[in-house]
Amino acid sequence: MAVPPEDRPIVSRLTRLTSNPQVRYPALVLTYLLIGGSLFNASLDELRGPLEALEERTAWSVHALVSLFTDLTTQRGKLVTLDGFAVSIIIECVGLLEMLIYSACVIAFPAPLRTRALGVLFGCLAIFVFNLLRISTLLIVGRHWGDYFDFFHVYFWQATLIAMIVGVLYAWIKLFVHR
Amino acid sequence: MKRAFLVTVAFVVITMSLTWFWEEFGRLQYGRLLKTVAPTIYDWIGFGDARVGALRQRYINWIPFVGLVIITPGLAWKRRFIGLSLGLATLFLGHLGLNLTEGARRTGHLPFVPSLISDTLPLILWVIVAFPVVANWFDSTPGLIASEPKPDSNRPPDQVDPPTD
Repeated sequence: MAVPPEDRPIVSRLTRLTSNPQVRYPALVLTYLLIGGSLFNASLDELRGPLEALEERTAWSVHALVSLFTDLTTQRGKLVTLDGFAVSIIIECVGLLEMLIYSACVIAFPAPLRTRALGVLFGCLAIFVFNLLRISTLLIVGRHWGDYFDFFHVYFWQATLIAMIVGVLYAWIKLFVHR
Repeated sequence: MKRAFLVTVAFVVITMSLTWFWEEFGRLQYGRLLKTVAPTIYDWIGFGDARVGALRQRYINWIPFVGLVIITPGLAWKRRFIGLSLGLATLFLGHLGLNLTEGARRTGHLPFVPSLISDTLPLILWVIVAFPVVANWFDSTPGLIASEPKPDSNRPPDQVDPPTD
């Protein structure tokens, strides 16, 4: 007598494993990242114009934020200066990696479609704002404590990248999913 | 609110200290370790021409992982310790794998997808290690824990608990 597929030990074990959120959620995040990252990578050449515009827009936003507190800031293209200290905004600085990772985390999360869509929208906006704060802080550190610029540049990259994503993801779950 | 603030402060202090340690000593020592260990491993798996340390700037991804695992409240110390050990070993393997993707690098660009995965790995590993704590994120979200029956899901609908008072 044939055993139905779902009753076979290996199939039922696999089914149990993939329905376990501890395995399923990370696997889904990685899958969405692979898909999203590959699509983005494949269209990098076509996106060159918009990405350069985004770099300039980020530079302009940093300038606008810092100029709320001081007149000593200028901006030209991707270059922002604070009293003679300049930083150049490159594509790694605009928060796109963070937004992609965060979006994969939200899309993989078991929540209604509308909640996830709002999560991606508001979360990416929050990451953009956090990123402006990050660059502005670096600009201030570079201007006033130049010796520590390299340290903070490294620190504000990886450590805060994950902290920012976890923070925004947690806020989204608390405010939108569990409300 | 106070707890969230303390957790954030702890994360900042731990990751800043680790970044300082990494910049001052760790990066150099880790580079030496890789130069000793990696060529043998690459030879063994048939990638003898891989360049060790090709994408060394991304090796720092262990810092947020350690920071998150240490500050996660309510995690058993045994799980924390085993999670840290296995997680760091996984990140080390990730670094070895990341070097192999250097060939796919476009001029002036990072190998995008491998870098993305490398940057996400600490978060993924943390979710796995801290799952007993993070599991409540998934509570009351429909569909995910479908395989885990609710305590009363097998009980007939007309069978209810008697009132207790």
